[in-house]
Amino acid sequence: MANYIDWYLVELERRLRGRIPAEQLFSVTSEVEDHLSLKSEDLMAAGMGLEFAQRAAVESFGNADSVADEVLEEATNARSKRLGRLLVLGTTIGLFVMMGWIAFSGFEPGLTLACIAVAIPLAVAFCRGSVLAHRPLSAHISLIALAGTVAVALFLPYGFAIHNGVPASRLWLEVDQRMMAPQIVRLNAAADGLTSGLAYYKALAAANGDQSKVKGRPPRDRDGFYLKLPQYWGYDPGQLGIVTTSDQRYMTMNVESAQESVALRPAMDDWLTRGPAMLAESKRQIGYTTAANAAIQAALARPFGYSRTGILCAGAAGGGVLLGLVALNAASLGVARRSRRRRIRLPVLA
Amino acid sequence: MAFKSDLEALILGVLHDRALHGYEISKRIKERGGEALAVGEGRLYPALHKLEADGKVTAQWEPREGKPPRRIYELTEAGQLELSSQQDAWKKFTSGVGSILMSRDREVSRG
Repeated sequence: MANYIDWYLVELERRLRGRIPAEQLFSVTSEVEDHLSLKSEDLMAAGMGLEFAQRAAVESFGNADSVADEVLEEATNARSKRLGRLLVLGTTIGLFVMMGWIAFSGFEPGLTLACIAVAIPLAVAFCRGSVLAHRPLSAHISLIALAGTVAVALFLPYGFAIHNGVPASRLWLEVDQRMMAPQIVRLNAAADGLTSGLAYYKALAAANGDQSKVKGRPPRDRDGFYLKLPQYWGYDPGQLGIVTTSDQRYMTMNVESAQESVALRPAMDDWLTRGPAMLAESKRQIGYTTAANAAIQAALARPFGYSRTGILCAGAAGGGVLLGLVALNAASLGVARRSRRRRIRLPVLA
Repeated sequence: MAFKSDLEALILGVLHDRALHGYEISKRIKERGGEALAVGEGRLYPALHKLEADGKVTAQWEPREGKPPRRIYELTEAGQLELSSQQDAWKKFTSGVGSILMSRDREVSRG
């Protein structure tokens, strides 16, 4: 005598095996078996023969292909949700860390920070995801979330890096009142390429004796030049500074193109030749460039603002979102753990 | 039954009274809804698992003497809230549709 229920269960299991966790497969087949048995018992009680009752129960349940598809879709959606949530959580952590970094270290995120921003969400997603999100991982939503994570994580440091690149065609001066020197002018001129300007000032520095440096802060203890070669985002610019300790005043310049360096050369030469006598001129420059800088900042209108306070606020907002997501995630994990504990208590598995 | 969310609402509705296993849920829906709510029985379990994953129902394996255990589903607090919101939405929907359909009936009877 054909046992339709057994046949159906074998067919269903064949379609699901290896595509959902064994625990879930057991749960699904047990429930389906129970359902079909009860249904056929009801039909037999109504006067139907065993074989017909089983067949009718199976037919009303739906064919194994469509039922398996429904189960797989649901399982995949659940995993995608979890993985997506983990990716969002990871991204938020990454962005939060990055914003904190920027807030406390200045405006130069750089490639290392970008890598960290990408690595954190991926690490969170895959470490937690491997535990919670069983196979299959490659649902569309997961991939979209992953792509979004990478894009967002890359965008933010790039956006800040653009900050260094945007004033490429103009001068950008910043007056930093926090430094020890009473008046500090930082002059950045960014553009594509870096060659002759730096070479020119290197040569100039060499001609003026051993007063050049290739790293660190500007020397405070003597007059002269310093040269710094930091790694910027995608650039290899140089920075040149002239320090005059007599009045604790120095000027630094990022030189990234021959054109800009040519444009700036007279100003630097003036500093070289006239030294402290440039005070009045620097004051004028500070006044002019501060206004220009403010205009540039307003024009750029970056999403997180320019000021440290702005970034701290954004960081605090990020922290709030992060805590919310952590709470959500914890709730979700709690549900999953409770669910697992219940399954472990199964008498049939004991 | 056109939408999965409808099925989920029906499940929540029948679980409102007491905890039930899958087959009982299917039977109750059929008993109460008749043929108008004929649910593909095979679609019931994925919907139940989704509700469980969403925390709207919980499931317990009930041991049975000499038989395999049976999974019993019960409404959670979140499920109760969801059911209430579904009920509200349904009331609004039916009253909205009803007011339009009935007003047309009235117009027809006046005419």
